[in-house]
Amino acid sequence: MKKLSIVVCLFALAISSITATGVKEVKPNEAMVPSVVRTNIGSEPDSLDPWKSAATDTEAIFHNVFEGLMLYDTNGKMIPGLAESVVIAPDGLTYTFKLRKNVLFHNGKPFDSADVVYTYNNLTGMSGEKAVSSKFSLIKNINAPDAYTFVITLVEPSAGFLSLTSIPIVPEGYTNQAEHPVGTGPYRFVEYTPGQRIVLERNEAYYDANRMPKIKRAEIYIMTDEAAIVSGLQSGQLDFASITAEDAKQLSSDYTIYNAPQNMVQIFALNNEDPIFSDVRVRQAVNYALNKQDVIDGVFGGYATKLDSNFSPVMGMYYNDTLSGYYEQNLAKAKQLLLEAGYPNGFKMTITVPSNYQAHIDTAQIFAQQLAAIGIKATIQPIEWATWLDQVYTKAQYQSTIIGLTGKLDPDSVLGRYTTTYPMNFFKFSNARYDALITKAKVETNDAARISMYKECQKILTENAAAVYVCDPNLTVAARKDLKGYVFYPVGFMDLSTLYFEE
Amino acid sequence: MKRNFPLRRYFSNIHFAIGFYMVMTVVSLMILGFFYIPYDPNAIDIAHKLQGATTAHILGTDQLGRDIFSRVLVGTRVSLLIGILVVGFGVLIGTPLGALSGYFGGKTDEVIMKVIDTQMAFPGILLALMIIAVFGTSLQNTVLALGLMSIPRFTRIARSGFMKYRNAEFVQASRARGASHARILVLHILPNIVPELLVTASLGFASAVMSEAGLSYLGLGMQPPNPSFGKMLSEAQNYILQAWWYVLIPSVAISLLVMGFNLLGDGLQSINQQ
Amino acid sequence: MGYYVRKILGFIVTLFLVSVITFLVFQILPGDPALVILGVDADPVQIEALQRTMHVDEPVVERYVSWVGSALHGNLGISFRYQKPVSGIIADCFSVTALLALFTLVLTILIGLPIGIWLAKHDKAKYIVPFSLVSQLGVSIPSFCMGILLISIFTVKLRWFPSLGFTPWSQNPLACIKGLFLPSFSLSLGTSAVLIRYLRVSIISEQKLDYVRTARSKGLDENTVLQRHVLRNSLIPVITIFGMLVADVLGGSIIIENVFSLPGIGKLIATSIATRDLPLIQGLVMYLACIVVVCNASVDLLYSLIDPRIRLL
Repeated sequence: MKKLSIVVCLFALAISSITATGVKEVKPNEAMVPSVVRTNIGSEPDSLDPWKSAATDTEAIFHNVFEGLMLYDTNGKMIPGLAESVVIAPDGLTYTFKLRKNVLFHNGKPFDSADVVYTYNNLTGMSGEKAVSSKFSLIKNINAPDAYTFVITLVEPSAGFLSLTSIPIVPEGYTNQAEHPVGTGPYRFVEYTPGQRIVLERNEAYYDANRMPKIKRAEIYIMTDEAAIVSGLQSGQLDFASITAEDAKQLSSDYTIYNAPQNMVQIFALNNEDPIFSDVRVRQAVNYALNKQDVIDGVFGGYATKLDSNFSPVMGMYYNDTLSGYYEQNLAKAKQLLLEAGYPNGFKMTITVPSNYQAHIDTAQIFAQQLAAIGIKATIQPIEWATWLDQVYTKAQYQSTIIGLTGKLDPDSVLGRYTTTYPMNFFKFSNARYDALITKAKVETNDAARISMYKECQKILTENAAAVYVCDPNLTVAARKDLKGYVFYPVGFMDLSTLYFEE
Repeated sequence: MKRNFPLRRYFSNIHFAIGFYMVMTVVSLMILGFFYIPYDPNAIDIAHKLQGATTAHILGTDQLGRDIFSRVLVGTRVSLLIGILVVGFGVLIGTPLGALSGYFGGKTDEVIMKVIDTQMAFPGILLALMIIAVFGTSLQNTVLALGLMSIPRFTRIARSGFMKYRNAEFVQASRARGASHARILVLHILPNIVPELLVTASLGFASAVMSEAGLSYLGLGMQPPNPSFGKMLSEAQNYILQAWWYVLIPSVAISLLVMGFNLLGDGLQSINQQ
Repeated sequence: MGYYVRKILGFIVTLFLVSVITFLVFQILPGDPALVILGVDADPVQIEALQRTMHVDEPVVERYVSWVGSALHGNLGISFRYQKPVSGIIADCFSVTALLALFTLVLTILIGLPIGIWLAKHDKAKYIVPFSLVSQLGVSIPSFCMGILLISIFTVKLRWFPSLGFTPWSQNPLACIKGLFLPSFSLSLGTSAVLIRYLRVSIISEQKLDYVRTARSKGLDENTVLQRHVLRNSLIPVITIFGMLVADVLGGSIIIENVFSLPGIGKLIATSIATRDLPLIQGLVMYLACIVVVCNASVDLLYSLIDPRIRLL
């Protein structure tokens, strides 16, 4: 037995030696300002190549690496990026961009109009290859009169076009973006280990001294488990992370909590072509039966903005604030509407929810109980995300579902989802006046007129109860106390360049 | 003090006894649940969410303000039902396969074992995810997925048992008397391997409870709002900071069941070997 | 000779069946990989472009045959999700899982072997009950809870070990060990419980055999008997269990990998199913089948090393 006890002793020794050296390394060194900021991302990037990527999470990180001709500020206003300035001709068709000089790509190549031409040729399909995006089909032609001027001519005026020019400019002829992305942003790509992390480093040659990052290196860990993220923060392995509002309350004494609406609309979608929900009165009845505040308090810890429109107030001037409070819970009215629609005793329905979003599942549970009060028996059917995308999103084979759709800078790309011809109009909403308004708003160059059209669109959606608009859940970020400078954008963008550690 | 002899033999085994009482704790909760449930287990009450133990809610409330104690009472029913159905599935399909395989040997054995090997080479979680992706989440599909996963262990045990006895003297004797294969299989050999099957069933029960928790972690367990231990745990895990007891309660329930059935299995095994 | 040929043939049949089933199931499974990868904000043009790389529009049989063809040449295809060769992705994740399995194995032996032997020697209820209860806890606590418990003690409170990320052995062996200690410890709590249970039973039943009595009657002291004779023979059933445990760990644990943010096989399986990544899942299924076979073969080999009477016929 002696041998065994020796083994045990050795084992104990091994552990203690590992841990003894461990103490120093894991603890953040408080005397020095850290040169690395560590955070997390909830899902793996879909592709590092900006032309092959569409996920909001990926964009949130890689907007640090790539830049467009224009950038957006924290209010969603377009500001000069790689273009110093833009001049829009009075007819609204010609955009002349003056490009910035002395900009270098991360691979050392100088930036000029050839890169912009290359990028837009591919985006529009003018290069002879298939177009990379369908959004740029309204470009008639592009040209570069000199190395630092770029001119776009549109087929028809488009008020939303400028927001499209935030799309990344990539170096001419560089085809290895999927492996090693190269852009012009304040951070350059270092490495990506699937399932593990993305590493970015400060672009020392960045042209804009104001946006020059203060922190040298950023490590973004791919983490899905909520509890693991929180313990990552608590153990000092993460410097900041987005967490649930409930967790934020618990951490608020030791961490700085940033909390703001994230421009995501949580929607309880009712299939407008379903035999039951094709009746607008039934949809309105459902709207009147629900108490959204319960969802805000129960699922989002009170940190969410109640909505009655398909826009979050984050959309600023486009948001139709007159709709606020349009559907307050009113059971009598709900029952009356059901009676009129021919369902005096309610009916049975299914709420299909993607199983990977606990928040939506919890929302479904709350709604199911509230619907029971007017006699509607709702069953909850969680399905895998892939199945949801196929059955619900693409084929619209569902009765009702709960999902969050992220907002965009251009109101058209949000409201366009409800047009009759939109291929992924899974709401199956169809309204001729709405379609006409959307088409008109697209080419309207007068801002005021355009804004009022979009407000009208929101009103049509709400009045027709196209869906139940629940709330815009806040994005809650917890950061260690000495990490400052976190800013929110109206779209998913985690701006690393503004962050700094306080000395 | 004359007591039933075999029962005393079982309870004198300390593992069996402890395991038995652990399982009975859960079973008695289930029985209690048939007569008395303090609240509707699915009744949501946002104003009182994530509360600690109070006189009104003796185990506190969950993230939607539902009474955890009531959910435990009902969840016991669901978790035990899943365990029983999964084990039943495994026994009813796995044992006959193993019996045929072990008794007849040769080609039959080869084909059956090939199928079982193929199934074993298939990762269980993959199988479960596939079934649930195709048929949707529900109690039946959870049972189907876990049941399929539990077949090989029963087949293997039955096979080795039937193999052992197929040439035993008593089998040869009844064969000589002209007994049919079916009769030999069911009446003569099967009783001999029941003890081993019981051990396997007991361990299978434990792993069914554990796998249900695993499926729930992946969001593919029971259909909400119905509770099962696994579902409760997966819902609780995001609230570990605010309500540790909410995580603790389903964990303890799962541990009790798993440990109880494992100990029962251990106990049965050592009793068999005596 | 015939034995090996049959074994290998059997294995090939298994591989074939498994790959056919996976292929068929993926034809039934709803979900378009391109849409899953790009999500709800995807541009139709992007989805089309991605779909073109996947050849999902070709007839099923044709795709299967061409997959088998290239698989026979060692080419498992390109993953839909990662747009990289499947074999490389699996190899990367395997390097994590294999190390995890190795550490788990070492810890299992270090924890399980001494306790199992000690318990067999002291075959009394007062020792066995507390030990088996404690060791049973290892298997019966849901792995999520065990993981979080270990993290909150050793990472959050004591700050001894990190709980996220993986450092390759080649980069920094010490950091690698530290990173994998907690996950392998939580896995080994379960596996060592199983080991203890089997080892104890096996030693006790071995001790009752004649040759042990003979050895004892020759006057050999207890420890010598145990080490020379009993332990050696009672290892055989234990090794079988061990083979299964290792195969299990190498199969990956989704929950443990999620909780400790490790890029291992378990997570890869979950991702590949979630994204309907057929080439990747085919590769993974092949990998898992191989693991089971290799583990079984190693067990057979170990048998013959321990007990020369068992021949690898």
